Amino acid sequence: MRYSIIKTVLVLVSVFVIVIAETSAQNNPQKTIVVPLSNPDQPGIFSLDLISGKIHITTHERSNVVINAQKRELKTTTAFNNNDSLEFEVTENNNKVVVEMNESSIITDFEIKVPKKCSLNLRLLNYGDIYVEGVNGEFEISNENGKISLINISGSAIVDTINEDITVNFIEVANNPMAFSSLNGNLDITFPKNLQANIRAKADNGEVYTNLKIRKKPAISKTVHSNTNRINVEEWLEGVVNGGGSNISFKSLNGNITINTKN
Amino acid sequence: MDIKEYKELMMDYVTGKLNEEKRVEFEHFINTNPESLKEIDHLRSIWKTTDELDSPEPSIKMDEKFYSFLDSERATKRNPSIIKYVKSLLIFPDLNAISGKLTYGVIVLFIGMFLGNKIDSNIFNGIQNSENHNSEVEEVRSQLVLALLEQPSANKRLQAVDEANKLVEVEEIVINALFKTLNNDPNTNVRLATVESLSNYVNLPTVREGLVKSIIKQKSPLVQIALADLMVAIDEKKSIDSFKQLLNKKEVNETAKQKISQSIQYLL
Repeated sequence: MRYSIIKTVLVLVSVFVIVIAETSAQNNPQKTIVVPLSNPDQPGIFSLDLISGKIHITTHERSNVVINAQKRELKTTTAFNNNDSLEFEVTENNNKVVVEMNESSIITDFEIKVPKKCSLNLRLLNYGDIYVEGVNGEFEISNENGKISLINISGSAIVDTINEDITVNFIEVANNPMAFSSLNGNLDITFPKNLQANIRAKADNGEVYTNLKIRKKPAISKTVHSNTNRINVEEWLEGVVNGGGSNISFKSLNGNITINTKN
Repeated sequence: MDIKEYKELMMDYVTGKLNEEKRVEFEHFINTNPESLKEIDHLRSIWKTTDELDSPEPSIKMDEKFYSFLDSERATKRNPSIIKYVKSLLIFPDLNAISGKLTYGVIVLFIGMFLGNKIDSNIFNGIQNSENHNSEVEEVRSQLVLALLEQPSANKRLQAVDEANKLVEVEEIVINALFKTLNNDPNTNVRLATVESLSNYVNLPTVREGLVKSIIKQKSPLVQIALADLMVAIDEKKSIDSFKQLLNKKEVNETAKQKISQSIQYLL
């Protein structure tokens, strides 16, 4: 154990740091940087926590991460100081690439290319969607005011939005627990036919559509009497798919939930 | 070469990262210094052991046995997919080899300590006389929950909450860990799952109290609403004040405010 720690320390020493600052007075500055992975034949992890902008991630055959950031042109500049420079920091440590924004008051659109095997940890607050295509890994993705679309991905995902839809299309799934939640958005999640899982879904004010055999389980729903109102608080649809596996839960307050399997 | 440089280079030497010139210099130093030679040998053997952790076949077998026992104890309630689940637990992403080793080590340590101290080896020969064993299974599961809740991956933390849901009797330390997750976890879905998990223990006054205290700390409307639903379900009137405070906050989501107002009406 002690020497594992020494190992870790050695790795930390080799951290790779780039600070990108675009100070030119262009209206629409952009920057592209290439981040090599320290273990090119191993999967990567990419992490980005963004206040304003969009995140668009696709794959390439190379084993590096290419980050293109572009400041979004605004028609009105009232809310944002348009003179702010495009500035962010990228670190690579043991295949984990982390992008950190230094200046949160500008809207930055990211176009990123990652290796096919790469886990993603993405958070976005405002002004854009998160779009991911063709990546294989573990995904932790959260977008408060935009959509999340994960197209032709493999692995497992834990996803939440507040106001917009979540669309996920799995080619292959890893046997990990997953969860998809939204307040006002629809969930549309497609799995391969060979999915093995324990499914739970709850759409408080919407409908659940599925080609899976899952059914309401009134046995565990808790019913409460409070004055004259009768509230059914736990009405999950539950089902065991192909003998069962990890738990996958789907929850939307005001949206519909669609769960399908396809070949 | 002096002792300081020797200390700096020893890890590189053991892992074969030194260039030819340095290596010769280093070997010369340790050959003239028997203490160092001993130290290097020791280091090398430990290094080798940690590397061998990469191939956990025997452990999988051991754990399969263990988990199939665990599972059979609870066969009436649970699905027998535990072997797959164990595999998924053990197969850490390669790039995380180092933290993986550490985690693996911690889990194995917990299980090992426990097995060493408490379980009679007969347990694997199928002699299962219930009550004792149940409590021991519970304890291992509790340790697993605690170890997984500390993981950086949301996957593992969700897994921890799933495991916690299988506990029949929950220890205070697990409840506390779940509350820490509910109040601090960066992932909304993990916090949501934790609300549900804690809802299994609302018969405990401390849990009710903790849930009420947590209301005001929640920033995600999804978690706020889940707590509102739960408070209505258990008719916890002490939560009314906390919800009223949330309603006064500007940044709280409108949909959540509507839902919370409704819940207050039910609770009054």
